[in-house]
Amino acid sequence: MVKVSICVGSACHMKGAYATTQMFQEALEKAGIADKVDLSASFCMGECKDGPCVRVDGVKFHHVDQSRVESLVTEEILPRTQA
Amino acid sequence: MSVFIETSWGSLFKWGEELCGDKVELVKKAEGVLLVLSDGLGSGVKANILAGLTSKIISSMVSAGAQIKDVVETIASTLPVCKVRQVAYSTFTMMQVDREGNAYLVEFDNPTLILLREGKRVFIPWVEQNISGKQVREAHIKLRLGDIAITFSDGVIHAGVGQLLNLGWQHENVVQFLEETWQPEDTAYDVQHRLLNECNALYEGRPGDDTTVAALRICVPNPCCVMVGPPVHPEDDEEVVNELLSCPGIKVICGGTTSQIVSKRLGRELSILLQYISPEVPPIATMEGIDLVTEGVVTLGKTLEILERYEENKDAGILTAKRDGAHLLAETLVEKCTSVKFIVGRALNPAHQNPDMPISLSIKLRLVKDISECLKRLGKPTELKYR
Repeated sequence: MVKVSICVGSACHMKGAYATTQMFQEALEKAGIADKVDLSASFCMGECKDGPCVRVDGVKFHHVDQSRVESLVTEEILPRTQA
Repeated sequence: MSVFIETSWGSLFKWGEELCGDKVELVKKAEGVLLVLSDGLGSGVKANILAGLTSKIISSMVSAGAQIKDVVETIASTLPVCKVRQVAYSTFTMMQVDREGNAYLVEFDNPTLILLREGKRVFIPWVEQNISGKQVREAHIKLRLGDIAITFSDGVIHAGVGQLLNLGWQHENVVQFLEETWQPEDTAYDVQHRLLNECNALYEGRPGDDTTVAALRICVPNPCCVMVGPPVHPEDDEEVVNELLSCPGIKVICGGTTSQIVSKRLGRELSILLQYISPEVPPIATMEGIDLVTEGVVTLGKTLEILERYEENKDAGILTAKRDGAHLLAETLVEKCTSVKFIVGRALNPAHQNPDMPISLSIKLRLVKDISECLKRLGKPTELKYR
């Protein structure tokens, strides 16, 4: 399972974490890997300046607004599910 | 069992007056509560002074252990005489209740107080006595859990005189109103506010007399402790977490970083729910032993909005309209607890030290202060403790 955690702390929330979480669920379904990803939320990851922040297997990705979700899924998460 | 004595009062000023001629004085001590409602002769500044003096004399003397005879004699010889009416006069009602629920009630010329038990009026064994030419009524009664005692000035029973009702609202109509509108979960504020609103409606928004209602409710204490933000010195974390855990009632944490600190200290898992209930409020989290865990500043901002809307409309549905963190917090603070203590940590979040950041420590502190002020207006004893 690939562990994906989306920060929903104050700053990330204000920078669009809501849209990011919605988009993530859709994008994982679309890529057909929803059952291979353990998607969760997290409070502050300490990356407030560069939110929304998403952690994939311990690696942090910054500025993950809804426009970046699909590319993150296909480029970073999909290959991990196949590894 | 030691009971919690919840009190709440409110006034309508006589239309056109800047001062209220009724006064409520409350003295809270470890052993109990003393509430005095006084109605000064006339209206405006004179009535305000008479009522203020009367309620203050009674509350100070009775709390110091004086007998009611001496108190009434002091009032009779102290109040200034009105030049126009050539009398010194102010009515009063006093309710002294200890933590066992033992009540000592005294009234002089105010509409007689109403005691509701499970929504029905209860007979009070009044004993009359003449003190300095004044007919004063006294009663000793044991109050039970859930009992609500309501006292009011004559502005309540005069509501609507010459307007909607020819003779105004009679005392038995007030009893009927209180019985019919009573709800088991009513707080002292609910009852007081509902009766005052009804009076305002009968007066068509232009009260013909100063109108004051005070309510006192006996309930099981259920304090709520809310930890907001980490303390300035990290070495104080443990002490603050212990203070939160030692709260005998509801435990709440507001703030992502704060909840992570508690989680780490206690070794208890913090699970944040992925699902947003409403887009504008971040999801809540769960932690063993903590009743509610929310994000900080955004949730507090929304909570304040909800509380202010509730204060304005007094519709309990506002508190439960959604199940997001802000609504759950507002409901907890208003409906589920009898008092609130905020432990407010003032540590700066290093990740927020950026000019682009829309959130700051000062905003959070302001929000907590505003929430606490709003809760106080709603009759909730609220304490702020900064760390």
